[in-house]
Amino acid sequence: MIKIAERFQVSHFLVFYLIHSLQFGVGVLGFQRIVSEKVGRDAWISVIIAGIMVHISLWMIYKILKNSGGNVTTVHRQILGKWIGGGLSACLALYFCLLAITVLRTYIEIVQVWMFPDLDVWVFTSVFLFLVFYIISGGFRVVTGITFFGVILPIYVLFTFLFPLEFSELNNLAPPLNHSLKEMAQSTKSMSLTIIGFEGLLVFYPFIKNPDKSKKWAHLGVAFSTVIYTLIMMVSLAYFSEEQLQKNVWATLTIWKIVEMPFVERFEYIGIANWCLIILPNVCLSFWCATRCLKDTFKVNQKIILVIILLGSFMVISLTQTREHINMLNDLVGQTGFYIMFGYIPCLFIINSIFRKVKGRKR
Amino acid sequence: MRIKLLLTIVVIFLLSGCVEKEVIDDVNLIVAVAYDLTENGNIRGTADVNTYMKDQPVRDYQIIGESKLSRDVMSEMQKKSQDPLVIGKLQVALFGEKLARKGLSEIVDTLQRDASIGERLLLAVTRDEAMTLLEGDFATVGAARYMSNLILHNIESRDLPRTNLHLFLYQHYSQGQDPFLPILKKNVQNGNVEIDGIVLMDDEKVVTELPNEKLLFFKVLTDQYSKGSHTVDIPDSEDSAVVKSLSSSRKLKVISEQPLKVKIDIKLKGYINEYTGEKITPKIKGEIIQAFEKEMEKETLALIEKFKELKIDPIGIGDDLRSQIRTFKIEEWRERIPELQVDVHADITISESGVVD
Repeated sequence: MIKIAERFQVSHFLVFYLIHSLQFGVGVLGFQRIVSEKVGRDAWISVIIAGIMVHISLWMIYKILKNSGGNVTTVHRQILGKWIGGGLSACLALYFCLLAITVLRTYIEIVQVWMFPDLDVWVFTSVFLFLVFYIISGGFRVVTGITFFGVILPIYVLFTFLFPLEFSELNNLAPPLNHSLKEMAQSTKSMSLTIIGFEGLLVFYPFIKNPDKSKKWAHLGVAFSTVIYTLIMMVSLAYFSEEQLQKNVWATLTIWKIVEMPFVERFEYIGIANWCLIILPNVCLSFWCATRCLKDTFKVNQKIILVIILLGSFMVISLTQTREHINMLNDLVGQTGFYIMFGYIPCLFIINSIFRKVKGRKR
Repeated sequence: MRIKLLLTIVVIFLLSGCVEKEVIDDVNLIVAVAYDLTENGNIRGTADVNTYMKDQPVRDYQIIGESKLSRDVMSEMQKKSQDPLVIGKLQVALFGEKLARKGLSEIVDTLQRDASIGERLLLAVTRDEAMTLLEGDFATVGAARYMSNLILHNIESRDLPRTNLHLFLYQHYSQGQDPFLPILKKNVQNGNVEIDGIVLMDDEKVVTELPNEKLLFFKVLTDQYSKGSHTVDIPDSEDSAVVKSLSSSRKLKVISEQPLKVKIDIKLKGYINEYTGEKITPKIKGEIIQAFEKEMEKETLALIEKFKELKIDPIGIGDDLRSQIRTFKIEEWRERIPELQVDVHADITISESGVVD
């Protein structure tokens, strides 16, 4: 049983920002190539399908947590017992750590390739993680505040995706649904790295003041992410030729190379620097979820865990040097996220509902 | 508290300047670059660097580097430059005719791989050696500004089809379209540079070229909303009229898949800019329209016939087919180009004829 005092809780509508911010990270900068690899022009349909899957998943999460009287760690303990349940919670915490590490390391790679090739990874990481530590030690409300600004302030970036329309060929989106079901499924799967993150709700659920009212906002957050992903995907498909898109590792950044304004000759420098504001809440929330998960499971001090986790992450990030390492990390997290979304959450949902039914009958 | 403050200050001092600085006064900005093929098969790059002085027009000078690989050309140039050369402000890239006939893939790869080069970079093929164009006389603006303005205003309000690095890469990688680039020529008399038609390429190299007179018809086939002007000779009379196009559109419709047959609808809206006869009556206007439509159909068909002969597709018919026929195999498109049958239908409207009748 976890009961959070009201002064530590956040209003229900803020869940919109929390969910959207957890989903929206570095994936969106380069998801076009992987998703369109198998299905080419149908990639935007895969994006929408993936979005619908997230909605279903989110619905399940709310069902799981509704009468649990806590978050996912409580559910784990109730169903699986102290040891197995605790182990599973620890695994989930590890997953959130990996998520944060992937986002931060991929972002540093982008800064290295696009802006400063000689940027020292450990310098940037240490400054950034220091900031993350500072924010998380302020508590969940502070993290939520950062999330709010991390969504609102960079929102103007969306308008830059109007610039490539000048050179776009809308015919590139036709003919729709020209690929087999298997290919569509594969490309939907490759969306996983871009859409995962919303599982954070499993952990911060008790911190919402009015969980029932927050449902609407959570779904709106997911819908907002999906709409942005779909629009960016459509613009990319129309702007690049099919074969050209496969050449670009970060298609979203390549799109920015065409943006030209009277006062800014090239937008990608501003865009990438701005993206720091988008990944900051993302990383903070992921680390917060990881530490909270461990705190609730093992009843230890959250600050001490946070320091240990940040130091560990710092080591991992400094050790990943080449793009192969980073790709490996990306694939690992993408795969794990996929299995969490399609394996773990549905299983937990089914077991949990059976468990509750049986328990209810006993009474 | 004091320790925290001290720590912050120390960290700030330690971390400032941990990446390479590029101060604008301490670097040489390359604004234009020219690539040529030398006699022994090397690539010679010429970089055009601007120097700005107080109350004086821009002066530019050239730095030359030669190497086997286009990547190394840059490092050769660095050895000859006083300040580090940076390429972020590159506006124009020129390719010598010989190099363009051999193939451009390698150099284009160099240009797109560099994150600091913009996608609006203009590319052009030159008559003879590209290097000689940079040495021309460009009055007060310098070579890069001059050439980019020259190309851009001709794209926007004249009959040069749209090109830039992004469009070139789009066409280069697409299996349903082939690239084209404008040709620049040095005017021998005054040292200026002028446009002298366009080159058409297959996947790799230049295969043929079109003269300036055919550009309007080509542009109508490639771009939407193209502008340009054309002189129409009115049949059965000595008079002729200049028609200026305001907007145009091109639609492609598949008529049958086996044999491959398409219909291209061209719509053009324009006004009469100049007329050698006495008075433009509705009858004469009709004649002008009819003559222009006929010429448009004839010329565009002739262009397409030429493309079929050379197995190239600069106007992107393949991309249109791919989006209209579900079973179309784009991989076989180049082999199937000669099979294509095309009907062209032109529809021209003339709205105005100037301030006098």
